[in-house]
Amino acid sequence: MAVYSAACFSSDPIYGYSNNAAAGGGSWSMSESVLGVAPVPGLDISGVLYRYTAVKERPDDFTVTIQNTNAVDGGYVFRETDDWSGRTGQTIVKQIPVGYVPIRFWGDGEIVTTGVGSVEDPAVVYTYRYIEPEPELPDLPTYTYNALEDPAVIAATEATERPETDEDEAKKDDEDEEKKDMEKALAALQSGLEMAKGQDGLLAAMNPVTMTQYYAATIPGGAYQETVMLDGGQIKDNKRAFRSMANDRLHNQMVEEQWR
Amino acid sequence: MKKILLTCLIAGTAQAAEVPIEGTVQSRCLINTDVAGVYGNPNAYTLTTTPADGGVLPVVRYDVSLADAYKARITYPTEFSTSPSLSDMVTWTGSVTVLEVSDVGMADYDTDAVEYDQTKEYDLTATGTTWFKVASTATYGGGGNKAFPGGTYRSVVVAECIAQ
Repeated sequence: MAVYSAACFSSDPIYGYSNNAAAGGGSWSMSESVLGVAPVPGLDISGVLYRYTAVKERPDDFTVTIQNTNAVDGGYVFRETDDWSGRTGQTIVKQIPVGYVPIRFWGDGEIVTTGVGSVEDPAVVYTYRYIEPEPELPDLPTYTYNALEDPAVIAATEATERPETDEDEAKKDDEDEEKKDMEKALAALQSGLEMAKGQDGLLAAMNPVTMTQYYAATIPGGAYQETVMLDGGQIKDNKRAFRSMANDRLHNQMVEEQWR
Repeated sequence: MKKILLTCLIAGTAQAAEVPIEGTVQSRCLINTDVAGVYGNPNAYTLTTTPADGGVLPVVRYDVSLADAYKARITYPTEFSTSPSLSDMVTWTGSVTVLEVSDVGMADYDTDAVEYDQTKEYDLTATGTTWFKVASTATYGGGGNKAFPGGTYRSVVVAECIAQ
């Protein structure tokens, strides 16, 4: 395991665009007065936007090039040519993305023409992004920790042996007892499950037989005839019932009286 | 025979299916109003978009991402869309010209354009953006220099992108 010392750093990017680089003439340097910000590390150019009017006669050959030298590797970091040869002069507007090229690559810029014609009202604008660079930290020694070589860890993980005491024996007996109890409990559980399976089978086997027996049962004799007979041909009024009904009515009247 | 017929019928019904096909065509030609025009009133009987007379030229922008596929058709106004009641004749003049281009290949759009009535038609032969400016002037009184009645005047420039 390696332990490193590092600072957490973050910065929101700032986006913007430069002044008209061609305002002062056909060539310029990528200075603070042109860019509007200091050309410091963290500043990246993301695009070039230019506009000019090509003034020329249609048959004439005429080219216009906008370019920036590469201040680090030589050559050009940006170069765009418009060939107006055989075309009518016109105002052109172009926006060319260049990715995020660090400002240190951007050398002097210029507008170069060839042939017969001129450039009027040129404007060259650079779009940029600035991200504050991470502060440089001094190199700190790295320390590697290996737990397997730590004497304290080695001592703590060494195997130890000691004679058995009465407490150890008692503990061992308890553990054996617990093991036996557990075995018993598992056996009981297994037995319960087996029984449950058996009961399910029995119920499944019994139910259809029982129901069939009920459905198939027959009543001996075939039919039960009515056996009640009216003796004498007259039915007397039940006087006791009449009295009871009279009492009920009186009782109801008394109850209703309470609510009037 | 009956059975076979029924079988065929079932098989025919099961195989029938309607499979939809959808597609979206995204226009490769977009029109946008970059500058809305304003009529200046240099004298009582003239309304004009000429900047020198206090007007503002409307600018319409065409963004084309497919070359040789579209035509730009722009018509300057010949009537007011909003105005007070006008009893006399209005004389209209106007023009459409390329203001700016984003590609050298568009440099000859004006030269190659076809003009008829109040309309100018451009072949959009290059990809990129073209800005067109439209001039419009209205004179009241049929040459008699009659003053425009007071009020608000509006007119409309029609800009179209037509597939070739």
